[in-house]
Amino acid sequence: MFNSSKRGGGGLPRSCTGNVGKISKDLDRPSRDVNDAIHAVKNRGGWRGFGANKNPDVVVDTSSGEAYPKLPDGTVSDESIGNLYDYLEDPD
Amino acid sequence: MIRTELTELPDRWILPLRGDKLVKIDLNENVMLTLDSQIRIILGYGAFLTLGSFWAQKENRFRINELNQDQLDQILGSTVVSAVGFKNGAFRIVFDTGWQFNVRASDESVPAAVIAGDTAMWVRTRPTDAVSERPDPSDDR
Repeated sequence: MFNSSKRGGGGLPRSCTGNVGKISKDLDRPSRDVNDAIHAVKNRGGWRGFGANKNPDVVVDTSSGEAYPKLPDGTVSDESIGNLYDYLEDPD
Repeated sequence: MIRTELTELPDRWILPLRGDKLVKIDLNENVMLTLDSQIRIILGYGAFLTLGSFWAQKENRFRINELNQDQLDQILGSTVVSAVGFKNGAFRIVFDTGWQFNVRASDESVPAAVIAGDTAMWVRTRPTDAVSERPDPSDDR
């Protein structure tokens, strides 16, 4: 965990998935909480979706909680629409 | 200009630190994280550091008092992706590299505050009032 001498580089590699079960397992949170957090990220102000599609599928980087929308062509956007940790419960 | 707009939800405030980079960590009476926006985060030594989800890393949770400056400095350069102050007193800040600090609501003696300039953006316990306790590392995690 602390064996990297590179500042800012000792973190986790990105691990993106759209599978709620895997997100739930990686974060050790119930699937319902993960789903609620994903919907909260999608519904937050400033996110308008793509054209008529206001509810795109997303993938989540389970190392950081960042959520990225899938684009209409099936690829994943490089721009995050928010972070699940803003909406997950407190650490107790 | 320092941003001070918080997003209030029923149980928490989402703090406007997203995108700020961690540039300095000072270990004094408390631990002070300084962001490139000059916003400062003050945490007691009983705060937890994990690489990845706090809940998933039950075997790899470290209280700050278990860590030294060199270990903490590995986080420098990371960018904030989420910062939340809970109304029950808990606090969480998550970085793009997966590192995250957590203060549990149940750790009542552990201070936590976010300071923007001369303004307290969010305070759990006023830092000047709180003498950081250094809990026994063998305490229940």
